[in-house]
Amino acid sequence: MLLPMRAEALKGHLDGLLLALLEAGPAHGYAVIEALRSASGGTFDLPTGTVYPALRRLEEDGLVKSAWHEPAGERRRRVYELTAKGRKTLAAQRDAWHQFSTAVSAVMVGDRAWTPLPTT
Amino acid sequence: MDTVADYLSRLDAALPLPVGQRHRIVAEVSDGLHCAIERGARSGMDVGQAERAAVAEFGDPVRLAAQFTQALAPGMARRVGLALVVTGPMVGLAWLAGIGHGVDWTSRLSSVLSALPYFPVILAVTVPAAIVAVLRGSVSLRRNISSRGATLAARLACSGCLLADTVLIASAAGGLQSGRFTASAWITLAFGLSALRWVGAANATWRLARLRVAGY
Repeated sequence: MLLPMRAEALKGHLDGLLLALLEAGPAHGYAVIEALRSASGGTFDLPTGTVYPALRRLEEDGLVKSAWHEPAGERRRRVYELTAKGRKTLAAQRDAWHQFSTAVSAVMVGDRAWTPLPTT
Repeated sequence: MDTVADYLSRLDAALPLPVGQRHRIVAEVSDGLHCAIERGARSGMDVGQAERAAVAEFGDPVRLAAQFTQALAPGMARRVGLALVVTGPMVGLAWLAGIGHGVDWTSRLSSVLSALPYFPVILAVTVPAAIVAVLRGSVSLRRNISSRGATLAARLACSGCLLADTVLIASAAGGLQSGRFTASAWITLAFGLSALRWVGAANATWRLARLRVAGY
């Protein structure tokens, strides 16, 4: 059984994960936390307090935007969605992650599919 | 006081942020806590258990407040720096038109500088500090690193701005009283812009001072 990953292990990847989850569509903070839990099969069970401030930081940087949403008969919720700048950043982070993870696999498990980028 | 209300009250008290930001954070965390309580109830907990589990899931409110502050402080510093960089030329031109003498801008600038010879020193500190606040704030946001450099630069820029506007307003008021300057629409505009900026800078100084007290 996989143990939940510690928050420190995800530092540096959290922004990309949150952007990827919001790519599916707008969501409120707790829905993002639950989606992170379920999409990772419980591996990324971050302290809830880590995710809300991270969403606010992404908003300050213009990668997501948010607005209060109050469906009839339901609680008022702050809903986050990806901006155009957020989509570009997500695409760049995906490329960087693909390169990184393929390189790590090549070294750690001998996956020869990876070829280094030219250095020139 | 119930568990959730107590948690939200402690969170609010620990946030060294403007009241609008605090209300938004508390409202958002309140919604999150209620989502967590509903989740607990669905898994068979009674209300009390679900509330305690939700509060435990969100963690120490003081630590959560620190994480929110860390997330928002760089943006605050960046906005302050940007506001000063953008308003600086506008206010400066209004003062040159209002209290400067001469037919062109160069001679107007010379006349203002000869009346206020120490003014370039204030600008030499304030303008770079505002630019540093913008740049360091952006870097802190992007890399999720400490915003102390950005907030320090923003505080310095605000202090310089307050001093600059005070000097300009005081010298223009003195000049009008002594008859050195004559009242004009430009002087009125310059007074108005500087007064508005002074209030904005004083407000920003207060907000940044609260961050400083909290260690940011």
